[in-house]
Amino acid sequence: MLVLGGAALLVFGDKPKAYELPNGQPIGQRTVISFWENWTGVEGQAMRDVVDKFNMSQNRIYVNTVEVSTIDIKTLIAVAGGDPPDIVTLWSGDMGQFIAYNALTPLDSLEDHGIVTSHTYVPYIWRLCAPYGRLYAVAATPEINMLYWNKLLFAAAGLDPDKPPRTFDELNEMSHRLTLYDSSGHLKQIGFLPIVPGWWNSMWGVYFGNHLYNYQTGYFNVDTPEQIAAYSWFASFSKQLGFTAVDSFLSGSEQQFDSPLNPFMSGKVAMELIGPYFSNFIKRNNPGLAGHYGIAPFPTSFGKPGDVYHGDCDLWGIPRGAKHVPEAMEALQFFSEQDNIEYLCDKHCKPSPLMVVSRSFIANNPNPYIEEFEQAMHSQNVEVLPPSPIWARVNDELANAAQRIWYGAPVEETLQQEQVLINQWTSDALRLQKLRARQGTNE
Amino acid sequence: MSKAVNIADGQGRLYISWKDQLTGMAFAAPYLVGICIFLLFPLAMSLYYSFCDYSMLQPPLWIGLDNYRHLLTDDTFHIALINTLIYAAISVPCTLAWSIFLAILLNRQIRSQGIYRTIIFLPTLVPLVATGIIWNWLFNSDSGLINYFLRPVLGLVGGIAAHVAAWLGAGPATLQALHDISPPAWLGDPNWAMTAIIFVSFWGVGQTVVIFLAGLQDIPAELYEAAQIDGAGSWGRLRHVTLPMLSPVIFFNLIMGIIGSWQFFDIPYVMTAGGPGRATLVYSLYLFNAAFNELRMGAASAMAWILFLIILALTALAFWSAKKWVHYS
Repeated sequence: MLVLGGAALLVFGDKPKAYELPNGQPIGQRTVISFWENWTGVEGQAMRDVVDKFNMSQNRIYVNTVEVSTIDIKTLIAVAGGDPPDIVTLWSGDMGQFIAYNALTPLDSLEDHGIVTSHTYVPYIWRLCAPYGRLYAVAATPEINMLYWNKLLFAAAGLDPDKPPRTFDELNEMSHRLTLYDSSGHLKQIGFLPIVPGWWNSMWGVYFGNHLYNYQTGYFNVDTPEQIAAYSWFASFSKQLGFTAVDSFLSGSEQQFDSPLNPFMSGKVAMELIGPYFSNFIKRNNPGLAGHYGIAPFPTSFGKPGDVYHGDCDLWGIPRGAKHVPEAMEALQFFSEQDNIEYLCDKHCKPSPLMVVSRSFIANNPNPYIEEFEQAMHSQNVEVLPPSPIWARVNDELANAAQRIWYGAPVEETLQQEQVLINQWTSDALRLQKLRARQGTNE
Repeated sequence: MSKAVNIADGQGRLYISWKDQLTGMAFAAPYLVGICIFLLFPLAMSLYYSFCDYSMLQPPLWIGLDNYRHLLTDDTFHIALINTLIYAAISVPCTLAWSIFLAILLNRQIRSQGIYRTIIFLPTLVPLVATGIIWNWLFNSDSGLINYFLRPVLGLVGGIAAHVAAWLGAGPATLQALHDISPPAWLGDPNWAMTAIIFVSFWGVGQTVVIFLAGLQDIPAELYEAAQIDGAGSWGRLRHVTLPMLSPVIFFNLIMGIIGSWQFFDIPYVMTAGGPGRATLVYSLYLFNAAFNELRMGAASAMAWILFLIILALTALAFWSAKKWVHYS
């Protein structure tokens, strides 16, 4: 029966798809390279457009795009299994682990030929692509977080709709005024909630002057006074509003930036710290809000807003063991050309990672605040996710510590415990790294 | 076809010709090869990796007992261990009792018995991921069905309690607290999240109920008749006939329950991802995160072997205690 079934599948089953160019022509004798991409939807389509353009631009290489979820882990496992894709899109937080595990091919040839150098990108993007000085990835689309505020809700609360908070005191005061309860005492609207969207709960210290990662030593600064101040501020929202009341308030919402049920998008939360792509989805999901929100740099405790930003970027790399490295390099070179990067960033509603942008990119960008984002991109003070080999574990731990603090754990004690724990992990990782170097078992 | 030759010698030993032995081995070979490649080899390798720093991307580096030593001082590991212990200690006996109760009900000769049996078994056919998502909605603190029904009940209870408290002379703060009594934010509150997860485990008892039902139907009717003649009532028959006769089946389900509860993974993975604040981080979830999110295969292997020893010890304990309470007819 099994044999019969197998034979039937072979005869009648779905045939493997023959690759085709966007114009319907077969690809002929081209070398097929695989590209694992983590974006879907509008962003994924933009990437596919660039890939189509590459496939039509020459007659030797065909890039086959595959959309992959949890791309970091799947790529690492594929590298371990000896069958990785030729190009992969990475989150910037993956870099430390990928480099430590020797899972990426250095892109020396791109740098040696002057195609991508430290002058190509704004400073923080270069730090992400070459965290230890050597180029391991090139930039795709960046993001830099800003405070979005709902001008309609500001006006309704008697606040100046054109004046965002400039200090933490102002932020707290405005949030208080924007927080409303219904007749039965349930939360109806909240001014600001640090757990919305909740993606950077490990990075709040940035705005209080903390440098989470020490690039020289490889250790983390978890229980510094700045970090304690940050998480005390974070916890103050939970204490004032009550975490069960907040949970109940948010239970009908979705944290996803692209959902109409996002609390900012649906008018439940008046201010949110989030990236430039948010404009795309406000326009799509709540057009009524499109002309009635503003963006501003997030306040800092030690200076003025914009003295520090938190930035990130999607990156393209070539995994170790990729079978078509020269072809992948050629594709990366094409993807990194200014017009392609600007096309992608335009469709993602994001600023450009490049040092120089075209006038048309600014003039035609669908993001109404593109100039503000571009200005922020060029800041010298952009904090990024640490390129530590153990960042995935530390990030999970810190996000969890933030969660416990949110639920009432004492701030100072929790952070001190985390500091001891993360120090231990770091020293273990460094010790093992040295041991491996001595034994020559790094690869 | 070769002729089977089994000749017993004077002492009762069997001799099988080498040809028959080879034939037997050939028939068993696919299984033996499979068990060596897919079970014994991975088992041996995981034992070796548990003494190594191993990420799959670099060769394993021998670090002796470090992985085990670190687990001793790893607070998160302790939390996962305690959470699993709590889950196992509550869910195993409660689901067993609940399953026996349902099986006894379903064993009664009533109309539409088949329909009731199908209804009880049906949830086990729903994929666990779908079950988790459905329960996430049911437990939604604001719009979930559970709180929708609980809210008026608690309002009524709180109102009555407030009246009683007022009559007893309680202060305004107490009275207000009683009036404000509201359902918990199940999955958003670390104090309630594990309760919710345990509650979900009651949902999938269908298979256990079916096994108990089969066990109940194996109990000879004469035993009940004899007990009835001796004057035993319903409770007496349950205690002195049903439960002792069902004890081998209870024992089987207890062992399966112990193993299942320590390997519990899918529901917290789907519903809470171990949160809030690690309140539902169970052993297997922590092991999975170490292995597949952080690629700490060495540490994960050490955890897997500790888990194996825990399950082995609990199973041995159950077998030891079985001598006292399991009655084979």
